[in-house]
Amino acid sequence: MQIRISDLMDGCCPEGVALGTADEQLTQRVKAKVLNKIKNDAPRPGRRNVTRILLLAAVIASLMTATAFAAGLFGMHRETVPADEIPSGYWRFYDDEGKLMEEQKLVYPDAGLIFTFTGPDTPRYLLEIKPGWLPEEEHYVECFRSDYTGDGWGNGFGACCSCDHIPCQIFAYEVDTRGRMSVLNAEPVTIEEEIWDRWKVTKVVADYSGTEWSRLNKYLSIVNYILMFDEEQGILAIVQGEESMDTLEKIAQNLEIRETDTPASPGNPLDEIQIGMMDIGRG
Amino acid sequence: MNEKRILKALRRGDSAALEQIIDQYTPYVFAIISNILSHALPREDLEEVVSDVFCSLWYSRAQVETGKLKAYLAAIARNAAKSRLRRLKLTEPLEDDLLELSLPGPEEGVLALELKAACREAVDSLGQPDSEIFLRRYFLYQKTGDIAQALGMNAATVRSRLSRGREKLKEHLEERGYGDANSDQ
Repeated sequence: MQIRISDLMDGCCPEGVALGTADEQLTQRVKAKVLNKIKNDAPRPGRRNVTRILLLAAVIASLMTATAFAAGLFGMHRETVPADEIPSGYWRFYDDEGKLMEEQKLVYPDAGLIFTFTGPDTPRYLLEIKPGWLPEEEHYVECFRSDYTGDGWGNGFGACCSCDHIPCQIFAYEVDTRGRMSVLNAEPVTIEEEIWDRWKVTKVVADYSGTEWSRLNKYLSIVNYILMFDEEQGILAIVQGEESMDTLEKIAQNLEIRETDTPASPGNPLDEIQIGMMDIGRG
Repeated sequence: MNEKRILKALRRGDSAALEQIIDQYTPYVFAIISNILSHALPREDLEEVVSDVFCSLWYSRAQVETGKLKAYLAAIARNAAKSRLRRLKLTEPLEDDLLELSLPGPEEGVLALELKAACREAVDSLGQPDSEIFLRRYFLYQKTGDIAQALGMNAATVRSRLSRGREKLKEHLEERGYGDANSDQ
């Protein structure tokens, strides 16, 4: 098959290559456009209507261990991938007229777990998160407390920008009736299930040793995942990293999540993005 | 520009930091956008895409790693330009861009990432100035004449080194099990 060299070059970093000639007028025009756009889009107090603040942890009154989630009982469903099965799916890109423009087959030879989430049939809005507690280490202060809206809220956080390891990443996703399916490309070492108020929680210790993913992320070995799913609200929050599970749990239990008034883009239905990766990594 | 300090301010939501980044990197971003889209869009629209790139940086500022701002901007610029091309239903402007590979298995997902990692290794192994020529051509979409001018070479030398680079890339990928290439163009 034919592959574009330029596509293969996506991950290259031409740090030292000089390009372009100074053009003060161009720079000023671009600057004016950018500042105008971000000013108009800026989430200012009073303009951004945060419709709901959904607190994890600080308000957790009861934390009980569930013996197991009955399969399908909740919107979060977990499936162990048999050793001799290689899950696959398709990602498809359509143009504005609905014509299929691009299709990629996604194959996961190291898949250990597959999670399926199904949310409510209500309008979905973009989510923002704010860590209420973080460790005191330097890399958290430098990178993890990065503001997104300028007031401490962001759409995703990743501790440590420059070291080889990835101590912690946090994301929150809107989930509706179209659902969301994610694969973990590692061997699950332990799996625990708990209920934190209305959050269904699955804690996974995953071993990446010998996987394709660890060949790309050379220092990756044991990674801890905490998946929290509120089926009623259709919110999935994931706290993941090489930190200890206790530390991640404390971060998770102090995490705040809020729903903005910005509608989430309609996602592809489950049969379009059949499986996405939930593995830790750098974007 | 102290990148660490600028990024720290940017992450705090300081628009003055964004202005400094625009001052420094507009020519670079414009050049990438122009290399990919100048055959498809008028200059005014190119500038619009450039401004979109800096807006994307602003909205994703929490994710930029210290020391990698330039690479991050280049990646956003490439993606924005290629996405625009796709919407216009046009192809990328490189006529010597295709490599024929017969892959050992499904090429997407994790394997595609591995393929890209192997490509990075191959480009690194070219050494200077060939790796820079390759990056300028296939990452930054520069014309061979412009590469020649930037590096003080003649265009024929650049084309020759690119051809050698493609051969080495093909060999490198074949050695890693990406199959027997019938031909590259």
